[in-house]
Amino acid sequence: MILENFLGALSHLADPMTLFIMVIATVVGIVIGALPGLGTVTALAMVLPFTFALSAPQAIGVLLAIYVSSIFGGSIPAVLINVPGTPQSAATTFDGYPMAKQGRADEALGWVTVASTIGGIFSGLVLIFAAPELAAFAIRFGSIETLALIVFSLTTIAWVSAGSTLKGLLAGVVGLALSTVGVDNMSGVERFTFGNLQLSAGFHAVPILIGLFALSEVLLSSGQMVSMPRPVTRAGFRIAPFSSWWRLRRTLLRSSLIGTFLGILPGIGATAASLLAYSQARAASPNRDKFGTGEAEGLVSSEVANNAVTGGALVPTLALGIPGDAANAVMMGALIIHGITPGVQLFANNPDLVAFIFVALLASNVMMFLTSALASRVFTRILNIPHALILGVVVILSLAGSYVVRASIMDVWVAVIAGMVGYGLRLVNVPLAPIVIGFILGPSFETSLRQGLILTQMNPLRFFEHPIAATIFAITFLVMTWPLIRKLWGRGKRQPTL
Amino acid sequence: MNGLLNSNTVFGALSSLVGGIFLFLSFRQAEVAFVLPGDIPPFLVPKVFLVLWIALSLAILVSGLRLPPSPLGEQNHARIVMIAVLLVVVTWLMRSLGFMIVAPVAAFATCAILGYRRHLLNAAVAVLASGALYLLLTRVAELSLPKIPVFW
Repeated sequence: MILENFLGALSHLADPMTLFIMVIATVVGIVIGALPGLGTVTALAMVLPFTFALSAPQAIGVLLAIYVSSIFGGSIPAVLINVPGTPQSAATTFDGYPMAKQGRADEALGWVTVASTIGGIFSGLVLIFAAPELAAFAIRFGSIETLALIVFSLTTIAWVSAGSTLKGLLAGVVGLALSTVGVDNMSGVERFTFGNLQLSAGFHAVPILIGLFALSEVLLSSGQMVSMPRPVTRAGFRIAPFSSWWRLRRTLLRSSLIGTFLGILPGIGATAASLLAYSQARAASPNRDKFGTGEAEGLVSSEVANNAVTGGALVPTLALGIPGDAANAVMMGALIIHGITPGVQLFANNPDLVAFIFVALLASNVMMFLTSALASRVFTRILNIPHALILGVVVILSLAGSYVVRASIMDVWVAVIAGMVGYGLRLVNVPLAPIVIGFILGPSFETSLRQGLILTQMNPLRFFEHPIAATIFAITFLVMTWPLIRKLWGRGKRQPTL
Repeated sequence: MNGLLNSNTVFGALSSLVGGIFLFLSFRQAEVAFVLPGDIPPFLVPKVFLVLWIALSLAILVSGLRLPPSPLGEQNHARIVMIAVLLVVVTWLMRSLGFMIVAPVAAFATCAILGYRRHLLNAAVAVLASGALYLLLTRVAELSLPKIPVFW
């Protein structure tokens, strides 16, 4: 990536309109993130239709701002009412809420904001260096390697999803199957359209996302409406002195590395990263006994890690076109809608845009910091809005968002049906993220598989003659059989004692 | 028989059935699809996905048979059904009545069903949010939403 691209990206970012809409997106992201139940994917799905009228860089800026700020926004209720706004902020409640209960809510929000910014910027810098390297390596990838990578990604995501592995795998397969509806691009044959002209174009990602995440949340919440506790105190914003931060430098670095690395791996996500960073910080800290009682180190470790996931997760999304989680699948879907296909070709053909993504990610973190510092009192008041009113607005946003995609009522029906199906799946603990990832990766999976079969004269065993693909398939097999291997290994080791 | 019912058996059975229906349809549709010699049949990949779908669903069903019967969690079913019906009715009427009539009603009714009793505030929020959203999408973003028929 050359300096010229970065200067071009900075000039795009300096456009007042781009800056303005990114600030608005930051506020919206923090607000949606702060509302328990909605989360990052819902925020991205609901905002996505609004980006259709924007230029590609502006749309990317908006989505990155939403992505970064919604993860941070989840920390506000975690600190103030002991309810994480997003699952990624679960570990923030451990020390954030006790700190707020001690009358130090302003200090807690200061720690959380600065820690999130540090984690986000660290992972953004890793993205700048790692993504081009990975993309350069991925130039060697043909259709069979791409297929292997998608199989690896989907399997791992399903494997580490909440709930049972079988359900995670099934969810991924359902997503893949949904992507085959419509006219087959290679042969022109209609598949599962039942003669419906509107189905010929296939399902669009936006109504499916809105249904699965936003409308299913409305249905789920309507079944279990509980009143939110009121914030413990009227919060402000106070940053601890530099000496306090310097004392935590090792925790900051460790948690940043954990968040970024786990972000790069498919399926692990920010929730696991923040919990792991918290447990590692606790194990390494001389103040480990104070963890859980309002210890700043615990708060910082989880917050740095969950925001460090953002840049890490964008590495495979941008470099390989393989999203590691549902939020990145939405981001990838948004890029495709705007005519940009993530992957090797993005780096070769659109270096300006790649540089803009890097710069916009860093800028989103700075905006998140400034917005939070200036308006933390306002965000606190959002927690007092009745949940029913918010869900009413979510319903109309979902209806409008689904319709405007293709000005088709069919898409609204798709969203409503996806919402009901999503609600049912959540009841039986089927993870929704693999459906979205399977759906987004489906066309690429099918194209790669069919090209691979043509190349090998319909003999899939010859896929293993490609060393990179064979290695990826072997790792996938290892990931899938790991629990069994561990079980057998443990049994073997126990045998002498029997 | 009731002893075999839990979320896994019900879900596994339903999912297998759906997968089975679509696999059957894929064979039916594949019969009439024209394929060039040497080309990959267009229904090959969907069939692979659907076979995996059915296999995984059956595995979930079998795993459920080994679990004790369990309820699906405590939910307010009346509210859920009302919200689901509301979504269907609103979608059905959106094209004919227009977004600006249907959306405020949808927002208001959602809040009311969820137990919010400050109806004046609820109505004000519903109208203002719908109006703001309509203007934002149609005027600022220049996207299309169903119009009220009178204004066509």
